[in-house]
Amino acid sequence: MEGFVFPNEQHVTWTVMIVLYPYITGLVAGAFIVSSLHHVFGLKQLAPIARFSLVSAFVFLLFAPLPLLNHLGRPDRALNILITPNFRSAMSGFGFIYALYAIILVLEIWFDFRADIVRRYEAASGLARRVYRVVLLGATYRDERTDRLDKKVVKTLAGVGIPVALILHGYVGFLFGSIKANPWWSTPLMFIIFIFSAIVSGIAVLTFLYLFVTWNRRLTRNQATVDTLARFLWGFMMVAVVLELMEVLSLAYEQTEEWSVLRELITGRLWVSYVVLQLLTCSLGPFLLLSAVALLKLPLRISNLLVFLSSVLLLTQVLLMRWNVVIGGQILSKSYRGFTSYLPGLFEREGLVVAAVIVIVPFLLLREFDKRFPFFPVPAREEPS
Amino acid sequence: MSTTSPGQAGPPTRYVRRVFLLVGVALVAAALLQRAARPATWGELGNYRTAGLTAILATEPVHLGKEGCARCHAEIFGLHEKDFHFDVECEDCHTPGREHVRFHDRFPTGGDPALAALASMPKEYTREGCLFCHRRLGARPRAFAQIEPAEHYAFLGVNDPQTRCIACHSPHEPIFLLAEVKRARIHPVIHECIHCHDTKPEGDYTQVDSHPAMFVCSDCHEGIVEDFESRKHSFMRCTACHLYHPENEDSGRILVNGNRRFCLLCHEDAPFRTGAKQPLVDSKAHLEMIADALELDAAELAADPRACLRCHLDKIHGDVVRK
Repeated sequence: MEGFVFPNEQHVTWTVMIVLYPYITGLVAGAFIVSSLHHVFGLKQLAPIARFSLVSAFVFLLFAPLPLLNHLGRPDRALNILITPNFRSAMSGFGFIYALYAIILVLEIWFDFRADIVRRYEAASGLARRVYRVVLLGATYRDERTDRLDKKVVKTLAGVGIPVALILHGYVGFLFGSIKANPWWSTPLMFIIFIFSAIVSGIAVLTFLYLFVTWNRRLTRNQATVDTLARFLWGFMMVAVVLELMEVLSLAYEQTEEWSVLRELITGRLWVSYVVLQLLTCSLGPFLLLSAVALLKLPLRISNLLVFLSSVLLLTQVLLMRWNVVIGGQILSKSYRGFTSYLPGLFEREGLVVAAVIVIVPFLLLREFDKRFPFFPVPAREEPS
Repeated sequence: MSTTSPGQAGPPTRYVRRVFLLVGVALVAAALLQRAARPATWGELGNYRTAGLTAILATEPVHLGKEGCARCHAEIFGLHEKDFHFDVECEDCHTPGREHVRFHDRFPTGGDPALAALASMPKEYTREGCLFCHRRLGARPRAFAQIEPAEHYAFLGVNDPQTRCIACHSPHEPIFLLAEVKRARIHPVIHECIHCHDTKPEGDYTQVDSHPAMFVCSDCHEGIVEDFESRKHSFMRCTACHLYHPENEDSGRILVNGNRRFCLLCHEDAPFRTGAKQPLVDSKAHLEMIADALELDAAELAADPRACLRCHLDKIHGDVVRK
């Protein structure tokens, strides 16, 4: 406690679980945007990871509500948000946006994988064959016409999915940005910042996984894919970080009454997590690394290593950004004259171990999916960037 | 390209329609399910069940109020009512008591141990539990008892930072008042420098130009305050012993705490105290030694709540008070 803190502010209510929630939904939205860059905008360089990004989006989507459920005192009442929604609260939108997005993703994955499932159906027998038939909803046939049709449907769904993905994550930013009592959150820029940081985290996680998997399995990686991911990562991270800085700069320039306490927050409680780690280490660092990759002619190994490092740093940057927003806004007293503090425990219900499990399990699930429907079955031929 | 089920190979768009039809049916089913799952009277008056109001009114409260506890715990209730926690409900620390009372009403002599365990109420008082109300916060009224743990422990020479509050204070009579706080004398409101200033300024308010006039102890008790300033305890505020309980903007109740257990809050020898800050005594052995040396009735001295003041009043006040 420091300064003038109200008694009901001693306890930080939104814990590390609420830090994870926007982080995971950001990964969902970002991964989906990457898949759409191929499906909708025809970026052929991203074809090798289009399916991978689509399934990643779906797997992360499955786990997005988990931190919220773990945070709720009565998770058994979670569905009430769908049964008796109160539309005067922005939170009531979550269930519907989430459900709509889940439907689009499931449909897109179904159409994208349909031809593969038909092949499996053809090769299978007995119970497996019956299971495949059910999964295919009886549509066990395929030819060139159906393949073209599937692609067309995937393209349409991806097109519809882009605004829904942006709404899903923009909505999370809106939740924070619309809390006018909190000067650290209340800004119309918040949802735009959340959307761009989501895209950054999505591209970063796919870059990280693609480079890691191809390195780990000694697969020939498609260099054009890596280069394209690196360029997009570079571009979107610049926009995201500049937006974050512009938000703070506008507050500082306006010199409103909130700024006096926000300045103390930034230079005091959030100095390490925001200034040192988020901005100087995890934003400036990858910016310099990706600039070097984009502007200098580096050996391929070095270039890919820098891209890999950048993806790790940017994944950390977005996580830190979520932490600094969610926790920073709560350790600031509503009196504007004091600060409280928050440090999660290790083994408690909403502690760091549970948080780590929630982050790691989607990756394990991705691995399981990969075992059944390999994302990178045939080593791609290396292409010059 | 193969057609695995030639009989089914109709127009290729059929399965697409089928999938979207399925999604449509699922959405309609979900909408119907939502409507069916919605409580009957929900939305009539607002975003809640109208019937919920009646249901809530018919709910038996889980909190009983401290009078419910007094039925069986009269002795503790007496202590609690006398001391400064008199306006704190028992259930604030002990959690709701309905099941506890139900069980003991039903099984006055015991009952199933498993049920008894369920009906038992927590007694442990963690330091965080106490600090929830007593941690020093700028937003609390200054007259409210509040501490910064590290500073409080340093002041008292407590060397173990994990020492719990109940090592010295009893939750039921936190400062061992001799008289009931609710019956203490009405006293005009007391202003102290630290009610507005973070630390006590040197001098007094009369030395500051245009400082608002305020009422301080020495205004009326000049001789006593002057005498106190020359005593061992002069580093303490008058209200440390003459506790002031504000009741409104103009007045409160003031009382004198002369209980030896109050003195022992600082002076009792304990493993977590260094003894560097203040003299420490093993009170039991000390009283026995005094009774022996002065040929007093040991039992009577041990039972005297003001035993410390018999010999040590001069560390606080001189004859000016006795007179």
